[in-house]
Amino acid sequence: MIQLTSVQLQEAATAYVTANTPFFFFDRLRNSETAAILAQQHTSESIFQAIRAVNATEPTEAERILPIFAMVAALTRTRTPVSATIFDDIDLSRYRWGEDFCRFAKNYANTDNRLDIQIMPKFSYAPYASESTTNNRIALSYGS
Amino acid sequence: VLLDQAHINPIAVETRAGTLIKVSQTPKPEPCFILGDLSAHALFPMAEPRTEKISGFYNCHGLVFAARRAAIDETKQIPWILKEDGYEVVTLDELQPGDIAVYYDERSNEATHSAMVIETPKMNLMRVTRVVSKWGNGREYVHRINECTYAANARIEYRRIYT
Repeated sequence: MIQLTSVQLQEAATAYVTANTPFFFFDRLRNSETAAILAQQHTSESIFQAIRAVNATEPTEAERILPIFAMVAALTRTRTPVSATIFDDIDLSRYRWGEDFCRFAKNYANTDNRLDIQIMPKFSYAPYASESTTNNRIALSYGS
Repeated sequence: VLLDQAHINPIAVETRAGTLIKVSQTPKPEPCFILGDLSAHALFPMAEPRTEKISGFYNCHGLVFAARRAAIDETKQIPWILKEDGYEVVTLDELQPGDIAVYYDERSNEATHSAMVIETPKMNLMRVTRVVSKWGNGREYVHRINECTYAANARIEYRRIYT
């Protein structure tokens, strides 16, 4: 069984605090190190059971709720593929953005993670980023 | 709703045309969110915090469109706020302090972030736009336009109200 205390809270808290939309929250958390480690170290079955066990206790503190979101995000990228319908059995409706989060998880389950490095805030910081002056878009150039 | 105990529509906020905007306030953000904000800042250390404490009373869209009175969580509202308030697109060459920047996620096309322009590329040696924005329920920061978590995979649009 996954211990709740073993789920790193920091990235989940960062994703949640900075999020202005549920998709942003999901996207950042799915591409976080926390979700990657959970997905690598545990089977989809054990993650699913941990989600159900923690959720059943109806936690009210963010310290206990955020790991649930992290585990749901991890479930979308486990090595052993999960059926998308598994997310129908996870009820996060008690929490803000919970329903949206599960919907995104269902849509993104087992899709590839090739955008990870671009999406992850940890690696997306581009100290040499420059702004294009020819249009309104940002051009990021990664220095070595 | 658990997780942030937000109060929905505690005050009335309207567009210029009089359409009610759905807003929220979170008077007591969870203590662990301080950790989240600090961690977000650690990713972009050049960003300068403008406020000392995190605040759940408003978010980035609330700073730009609701004068820091409340958070605008449903970003589907942003396009019609821009329309009803009369914001028009400006190019980078036309940019002035006081204009706003709206970040759109390129995949979902949602307005993930908004900011207030304080320096145009013509005003500094780095030739970059500098903005003030609020990072979700965290603190306000002064930062280069691309120096925030929202800039990855983002399309940025600058806008101004002329009248």
